[in-house]
Amino acid sequence: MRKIYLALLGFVMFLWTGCDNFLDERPQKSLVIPSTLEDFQAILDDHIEIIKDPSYGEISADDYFLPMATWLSLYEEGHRRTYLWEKDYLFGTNIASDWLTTYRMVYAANTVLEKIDEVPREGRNSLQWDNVKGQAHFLRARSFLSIAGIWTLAYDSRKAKEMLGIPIRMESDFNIPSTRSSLEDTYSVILDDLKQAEALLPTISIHPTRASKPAALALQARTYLFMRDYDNCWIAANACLQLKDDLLDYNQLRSTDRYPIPQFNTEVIYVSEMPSLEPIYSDIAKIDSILYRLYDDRDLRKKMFFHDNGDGTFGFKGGYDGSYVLFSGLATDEVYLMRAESALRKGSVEDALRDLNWLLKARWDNQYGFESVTVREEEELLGIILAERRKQLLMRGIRWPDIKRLNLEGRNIILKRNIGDHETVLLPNDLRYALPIPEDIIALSGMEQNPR
Amino acid sequence: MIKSMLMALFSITFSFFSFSQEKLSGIVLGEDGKGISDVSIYLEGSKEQVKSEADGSFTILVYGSSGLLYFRLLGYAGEDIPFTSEHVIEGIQVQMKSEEKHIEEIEVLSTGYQQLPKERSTGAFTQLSESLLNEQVSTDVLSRLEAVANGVSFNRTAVGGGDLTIRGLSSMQGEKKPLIVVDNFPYEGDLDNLNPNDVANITLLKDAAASSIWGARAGNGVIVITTKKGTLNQPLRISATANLTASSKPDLHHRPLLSARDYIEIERFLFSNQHRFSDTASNSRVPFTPVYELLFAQQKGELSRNEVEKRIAELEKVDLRDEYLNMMYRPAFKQQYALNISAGTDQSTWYFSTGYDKNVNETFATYQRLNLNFQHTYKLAKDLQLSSGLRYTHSESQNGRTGYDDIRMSNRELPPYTAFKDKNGNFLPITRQYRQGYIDTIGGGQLLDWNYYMDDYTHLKSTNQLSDVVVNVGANYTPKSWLSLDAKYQYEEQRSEQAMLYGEESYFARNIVNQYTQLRTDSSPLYIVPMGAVYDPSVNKIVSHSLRGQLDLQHDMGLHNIVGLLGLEARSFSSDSRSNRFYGYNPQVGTFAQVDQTVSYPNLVTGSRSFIPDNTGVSNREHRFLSVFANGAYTYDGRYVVSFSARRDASNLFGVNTNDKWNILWSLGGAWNISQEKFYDTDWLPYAKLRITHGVSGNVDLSRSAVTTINFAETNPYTQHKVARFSQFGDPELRWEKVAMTNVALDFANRDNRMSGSIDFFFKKGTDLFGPAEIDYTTGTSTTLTKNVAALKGKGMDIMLNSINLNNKDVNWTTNLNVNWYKDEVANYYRSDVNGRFYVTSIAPTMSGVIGKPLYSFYSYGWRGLDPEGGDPLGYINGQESKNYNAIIGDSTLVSDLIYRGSAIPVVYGSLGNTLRWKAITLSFRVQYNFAYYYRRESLNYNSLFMSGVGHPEYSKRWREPGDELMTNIPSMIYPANSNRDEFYRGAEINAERGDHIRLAYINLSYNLLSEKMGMPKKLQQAQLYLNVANLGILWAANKDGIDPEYRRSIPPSRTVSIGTRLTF
Repeated sequence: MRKIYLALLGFVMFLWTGCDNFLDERPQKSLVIPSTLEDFQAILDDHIEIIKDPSYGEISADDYFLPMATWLSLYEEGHRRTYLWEKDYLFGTNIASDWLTTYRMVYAANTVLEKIDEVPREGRNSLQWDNVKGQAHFLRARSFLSIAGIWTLAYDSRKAKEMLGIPIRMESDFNIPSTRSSLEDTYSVILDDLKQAEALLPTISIHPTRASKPAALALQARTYLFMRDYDNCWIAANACLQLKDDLLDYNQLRSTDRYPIPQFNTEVIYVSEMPSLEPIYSDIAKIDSILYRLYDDRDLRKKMFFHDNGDGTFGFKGGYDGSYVLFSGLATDEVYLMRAESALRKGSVEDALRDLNWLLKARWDNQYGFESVTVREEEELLGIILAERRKQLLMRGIRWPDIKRLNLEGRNIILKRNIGDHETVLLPNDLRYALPIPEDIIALSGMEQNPR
Repeated sequence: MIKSMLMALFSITFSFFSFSQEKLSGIVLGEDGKGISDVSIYLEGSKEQVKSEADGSFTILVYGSSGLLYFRLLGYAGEDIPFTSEHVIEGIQVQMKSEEKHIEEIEVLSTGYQQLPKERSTGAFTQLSESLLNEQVSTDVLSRLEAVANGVSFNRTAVGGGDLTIRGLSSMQGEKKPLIVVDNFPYEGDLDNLNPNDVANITLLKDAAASSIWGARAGNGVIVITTKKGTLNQPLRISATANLTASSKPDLHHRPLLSARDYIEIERFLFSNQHRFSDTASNSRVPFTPVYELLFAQQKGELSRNEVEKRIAELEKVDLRDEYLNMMYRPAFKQQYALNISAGTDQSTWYFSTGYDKNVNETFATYQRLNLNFQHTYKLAKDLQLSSGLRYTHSESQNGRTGYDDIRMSNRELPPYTAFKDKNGNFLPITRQYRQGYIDTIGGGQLLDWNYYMDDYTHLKSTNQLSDVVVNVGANYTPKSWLSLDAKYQYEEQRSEQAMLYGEESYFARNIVNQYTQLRTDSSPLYIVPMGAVYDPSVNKIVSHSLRGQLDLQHDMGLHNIVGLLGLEARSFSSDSRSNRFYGYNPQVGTFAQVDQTVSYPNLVTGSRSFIPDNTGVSNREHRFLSVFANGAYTYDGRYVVSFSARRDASNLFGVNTNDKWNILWSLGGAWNISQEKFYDTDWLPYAKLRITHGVSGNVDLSRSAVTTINFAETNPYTQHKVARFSQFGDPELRWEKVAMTNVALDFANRDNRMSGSIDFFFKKGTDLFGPAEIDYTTGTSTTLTKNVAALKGKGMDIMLNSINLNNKDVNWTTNLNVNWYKDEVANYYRSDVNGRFYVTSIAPTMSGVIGKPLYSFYSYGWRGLDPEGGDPLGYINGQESKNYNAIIGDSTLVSDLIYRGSAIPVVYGSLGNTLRWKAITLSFRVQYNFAYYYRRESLNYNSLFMSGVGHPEYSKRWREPGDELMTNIPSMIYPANSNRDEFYRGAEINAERGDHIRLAYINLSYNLLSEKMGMPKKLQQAQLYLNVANLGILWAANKDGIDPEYRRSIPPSRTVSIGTRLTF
């Protein structure tokens, strides 16, 4: 009998002693709880998800048009509606992937920012620690700014406290309900993140798909520009160009290439891309004919940016991503144009002209002598800079927030769409410049919808 | 770790070799004093079971000097005889009365942990005998359950239903399939490995008392498959079986397909609207259908109008389904052979079997399987029995031809007028990925042929070789009559090697070479992907170890009987997969070429850069379980039974701390043999037993985690750093699913067993169920997340009735009826979305989650008819007629505005079987039925018709002019199509149909040679010839359209005819 009890005891013992190790094996080797700097970097290095930008702003903007038959045969009802600036159901009944993918990046950034403080920052890892944290701050700022550019009206410092901003999510816990912030808070959160990113990030990153100090500065400049804070815009743009001022000489490019401008070229500070949704897909979207006519024949951009559809219309092939994918990241060309514009608005005509001509020279065909812009009359020069801004930065997701901003500056840009004989007009400062938040999000969160 | 446990267990087990086992002999006599053969004799609390010889004699091993023996034989009243040490010495004589009293031969139920006489069980079990299972012919085992098992249903239409369920769904998002146990342990390999001729019986454990011994994996019920073994003192027995099955070509015409004429009419209409003309500028050269290309050619003046019309007229004659039937399909043919040999001495038993299956399916795909099985038991000492076994399966399968729907264009389905060959029998290019005009000219002859031809399958070879080995060893030590110790260990390894060879001539290989080719004006093309075959081998290996130590107690003291067990179990399951890809592969010599996968190359067609696709991957899983379990039953005077069971499981669940890994699951039960009571004196119902149980079982989902986890994926090609993506968004509130079930049942049999059966009522309550919860995706997680969101209540009834309608020497007619009723109701669901759209039942119903309604509820939009002007479908917003489809589909329709019909899955289902025997001929047939549910009819969707070419024949009955709305409900064709208008029409009330139907599952006709009189050779014990016809289709359906509600979207299985024979020597 004793033997039996002993055996029973042994039975129980073997379980007790062994079970801890036995059950500690991970169900999957590749599955981990993110806790190290390597893990965080791996989250931020997702070259497919983490470099996305929303493209509904570009679909709403005026760099392109669709012929009626094309518009009618678009796959998505939501795209047809967005093209005509309808008031609602712009995502049809689908998930608003622009919204989801952008806020997913916010989730990734929040996860890293919440957990990185649990990793001690020591001499050994301090550079990597700063770098990873800086990338996360940058990522969150970039995501918030791209959402703000599409789903809010232009920033107006006098009214920003009362204006609707975006939902700002600073924690990863999905049980916390989303609420809308004021536009002022939105921009101050973005700037806050960018200031931290600027302080933490290295001057040069190992690849432009990772953020760097110039990237944080360029994005700061863009943010200030959208806020029409031109003094700060100039400071940030200037600081950026101090660190990186390369320009690509378009004379080195071959216009016969399918996509003449190479990916990761010397102007690129930071890579992000918009999904080429059907209306803005390069085979579908026709470049606005007035815009096309703005390019001088000696301007290489006319050849490098556009392909002739053979029917009097032109498609876009000038993306900085070397493919049909639309580049929406940061590049020095934009920073030069921001510095020129803000310098001029501060009254520094010389500085503005220097930057403008420096940029344009790199776009001009060598066969013809470059004629510098010499206009000194401020309003006229501003007009030229803004035109060059449009000519250089088309199909990059910048035009839509730019139109809002410029209309607040009184430039009276009126958008028109023609479907057959029917013309749809979007007047300056129309409420529809802030796209409706996807209806399902409103239903689920109870957040306030943008008045349309 | 496992090793040390093994050691410990064996050291424990082997330290007990010192108690005794006795041999008890006896004789069973009939009322006439003659010996009765084939009486089953069981020792209570043991697995020991013998049959009496022709003269009635028997010998059985007993433990200790007293105990209880059961004597059972069909047609005789069972006897339960206690024995003492005197009997052991002197032998025992038992007389059995021929009056039928009990249901049938005593059923010994196997739970995988113990053998349990049905009389003393409290739980809900269904046992399926070998002969019942053998009324069907199939390569696998499980497919036979549907037609015969009580409480089992197959879900063929609803999304997320799990294929096979017992007593309905218990889980929404977690594992939905029952646990499948073969002999003693869960089977981790592919169930198709099992040889059906090895199966002795199948037991379904349906309620908590039956299944809770399986703990955290038993929430969906358990299916215990018991395989054949040898028995002690059994002369050599050989049985052989062979059968052949043939089936007709599948009925492709079952699928609704738009006629070629209508399809072309629509194409002309679209062409006139310049539909997708923008694609002519497409960089990716998206294809147009042949008719569209003809119309383009006409428009450009390349072809005359007459020529175009002539060619279109030719196309109108083609029917894609016939093309497929003629070229890709054949009647399927299956062969099955099996041989079983078994014998036993008084010390050992052995069982050997082999099986061979060879199948050719309807698309010429082949499958071969070889089974070898050897099981052995040996009595080392009186009180120690060792057992060992080896089960080996090897199977090989190879792809066949191209099935219907396997080939599509890159942007739409193949048009119904697609012809495979021209008049001279040459294969025609099938437009799939690029415009025909483009691939005809690109490269100027420097590229490989870029056309797809329907004989492409001749260049593809997909094979799967699978080997599965199950090794088990066990020791059973019985030191006292009331105590036995049992140790079991099982090792299983399944290795499957898959290989996909895209031959050099295959479209896949040609396409990938062409795509990466760089054409150069000054020199020959540069091939980035080397020419040759593309070879994708992959290997998957599953290894599982199971170790169990168990202590069985059984004690009989006059009126009191106690049976119990206590055990520990450790299991591990690991799976490893590897896959590779080789380019430029030469299958003859096995050489391949290197490609550079770190550099991106421009695509020849689009010009955009991409990396050469890489099919390399490594993945692994490791699941571990530790369990402690106990159960016990106390019986008083054979009248009252009380049972309990408890189990605690732990697993290596990720991110949950160790304490939370443990989970107690339990059950309690009671049974009352009313007919044993002295006061019971009901002549017409001589047997009645009441059972009541309650218990909680669980459901493990190893993929859930309370913390945020990431999964490492590829390496970032730019930074060379690894990439991680979120696999779980941390949910601190995560809990385990629990399913509580109460079962109340009555077992009964009337005089002469004319009518016997059981009625079970059960109540199920699932709490903390995982379910999809819509999430405000501003949170950056996902649009739906799986959370503990729901609670389900369910009630049901399982009725099983067996009747002997006629019984005499020559004629015998029995009927078996299964009626299952199960209705669930969502008790709680934390769903924040009330937008009606998410609840409208689609073609394949999804879980709707409305509190107070079935989990699968059938909802529709209200239907107002067609607008007499324009033929638009009319719905309602706030009770007002409306055709604002965005609003109807959008937030203007709430769940409360929808029309609720009932359940979207059958509430009542079951089967009815009849067996008629006339002398040596037996005819069995079985019908199956599904009642009380609704399904959504397939309907016309203009948006999918225009965009992807998916049509519906009802197109020809659409609204065309005012007045048509009185005759038809099919909306008019508009351009552009409005996808919300289509969605509203599809979800409208008019497209709801009742799904009730009855089908004839099979008919089995067999001829049994039972005696020498019938001309049977002397050596044969049994000889049977049988003919089986299965999948006989619908006998009755509630819908009037001739639609098979279970196969609305797929092709129904073809009728099969089998012939076979079984011989036993």
